Amino acid sequence: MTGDLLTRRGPSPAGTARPGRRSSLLGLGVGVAALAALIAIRTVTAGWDDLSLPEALRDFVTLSTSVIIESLPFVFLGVLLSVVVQIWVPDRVIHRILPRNRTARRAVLSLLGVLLPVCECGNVPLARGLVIKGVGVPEAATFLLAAPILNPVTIVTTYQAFGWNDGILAGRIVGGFVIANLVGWLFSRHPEPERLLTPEFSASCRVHRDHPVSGRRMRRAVAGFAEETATMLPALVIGSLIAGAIQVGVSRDVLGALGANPIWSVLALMALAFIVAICSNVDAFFILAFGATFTPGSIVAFLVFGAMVDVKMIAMMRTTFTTRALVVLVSVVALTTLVLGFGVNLLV
Amino acid sequence: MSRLLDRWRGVVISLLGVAAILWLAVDGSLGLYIHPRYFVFTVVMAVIAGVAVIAAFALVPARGDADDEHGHDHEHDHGTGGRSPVRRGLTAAGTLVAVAVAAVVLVVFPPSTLSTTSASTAQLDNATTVSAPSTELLTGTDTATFSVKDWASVLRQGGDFADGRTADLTGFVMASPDSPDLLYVARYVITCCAVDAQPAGVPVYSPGWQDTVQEGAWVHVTGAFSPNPVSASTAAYTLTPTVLEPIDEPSDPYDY
Repeated sequence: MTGDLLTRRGPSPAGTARPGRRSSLLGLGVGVAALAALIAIRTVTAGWDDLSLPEALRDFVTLSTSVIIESLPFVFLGVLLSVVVQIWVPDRVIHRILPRNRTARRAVLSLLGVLLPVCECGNVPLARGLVIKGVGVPEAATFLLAAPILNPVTIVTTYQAFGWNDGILAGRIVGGFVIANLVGWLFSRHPEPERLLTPEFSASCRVHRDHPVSGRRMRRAVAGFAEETATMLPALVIGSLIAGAIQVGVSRDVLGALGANPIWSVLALMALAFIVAICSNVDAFFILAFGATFTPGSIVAFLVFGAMVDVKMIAMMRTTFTTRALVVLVSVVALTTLVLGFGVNLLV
Repeated sequence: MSRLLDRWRGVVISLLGVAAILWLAVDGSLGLYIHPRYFVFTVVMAVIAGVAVIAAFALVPARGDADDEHGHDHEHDHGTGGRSPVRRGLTAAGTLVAVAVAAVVLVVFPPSTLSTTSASTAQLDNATTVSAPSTELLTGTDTATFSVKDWASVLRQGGDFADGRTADLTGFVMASPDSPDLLYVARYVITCCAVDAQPAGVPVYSPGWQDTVQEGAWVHVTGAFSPNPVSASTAAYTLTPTVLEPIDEPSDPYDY
């Protein structure tokens, strides 16, 4: 695929310098060599199992690595989809599909996840792609929160785990939709929603809008991949380390004792969702294990809150939203999830 | 320097992740971190990302390319406008730390399993990963393939099914807080990834076990279940071993 790219050089638009074939081949060689070198280093270091490091440190690294390795493929998928939306979907298609009415627009966007099966970590790059495409900030926020829940993979895994029992699946889908649209509506009340974005990201949006990157699509796609991963992956690494550190430090036994209480169980599982930072595509299997001891409302709260907000997500969303916007977002999601959890416990 | 970092940090961390995932997959140790049901997806995405990263090396110029520089200059100016050099320096330092930590965690630190001594017996009692055994599990009479998790599930449900049956298990040793004659042969059970690992254990009645095996060490045990002779313990049935021997840590240390 890359070889094909390199050999087929289209006519360059005037005024655009391109790296020549030779420098591309050199870059390709450097890339392959770097990957080979890293795999070689890994092969050597894998033998160092007698480092006699403290167990807590070893567990911290193991747990953090597991969060990174679990999330990384989803982030890659999200980045790739984001690049595809930015480069191959024409602006007018997006604006033609979406209704003009703002509320209806947000409702439609929150259902877009059904077509783009990406969990929450992959959704941050995708939502950023939508903003760059000119979709409003409140609309993108609605999509960001709704899509991890209203997506086919999440719905199927939640159904596999719980079926129609105790209104867990319905609570998750309806709750996720309502909360995402509520946050979107709140953001739309802001006089200048663009100011909810970090200065870096709005600047980058302006650049994309004012100076659309020229050149072949494949080259733009690759540049987009480099740019999006540059923003997302440091945040993912830091978020995963925090999740790993909390896991080593906080005993899970405390949570188990709270499981049957209709109020404390909801708070306990929301705290757990925040700490473990598992992708929404797979979290139903994780929480299934708690099904026997925890109230249905607390499980719904886990499945809704964890899909929208967790340690790793806050690090990743911080790349895009200002701290103030994030505080509002997290508090609204937390409070409404609490209400949802208590409500399910009352009804079921 | 910070500019170079801005442009390449994503590519570098991606490359670290891709190298780590592919190495683990080839080595057969991806299961140390994630549940096998995600193996295919993870490897496929790593390969696709690997192609994208190598293409980035080939197609994103290190310098030159007037048009591209132009765009990035703008972004740079807007992005850091109004920020103090100190803040910019801190951001660059943070990025450098993230890249360095990713390198250490993903390709330098040897792959390892969770430490067995940090598992607590309190977790065994309310280990939520041990759910009710499926009926398929119990109707199939071939208990030779039962894992530690399977037997722990059976025992959780009262355990009458276990009475008189034999088991052949490997796991790590946890001392029972109830009696010095009892130990648990335990394994971590993973439902999604290593973050959610919880221990499941089978109680073994073996007075003087401390002489042959150590707490936290891996053991192989075979024997038959019978009613628990220790009154201080709540377990209804325990395994009475015919073999209880120390072994090396297995290559598949978790149950799923």
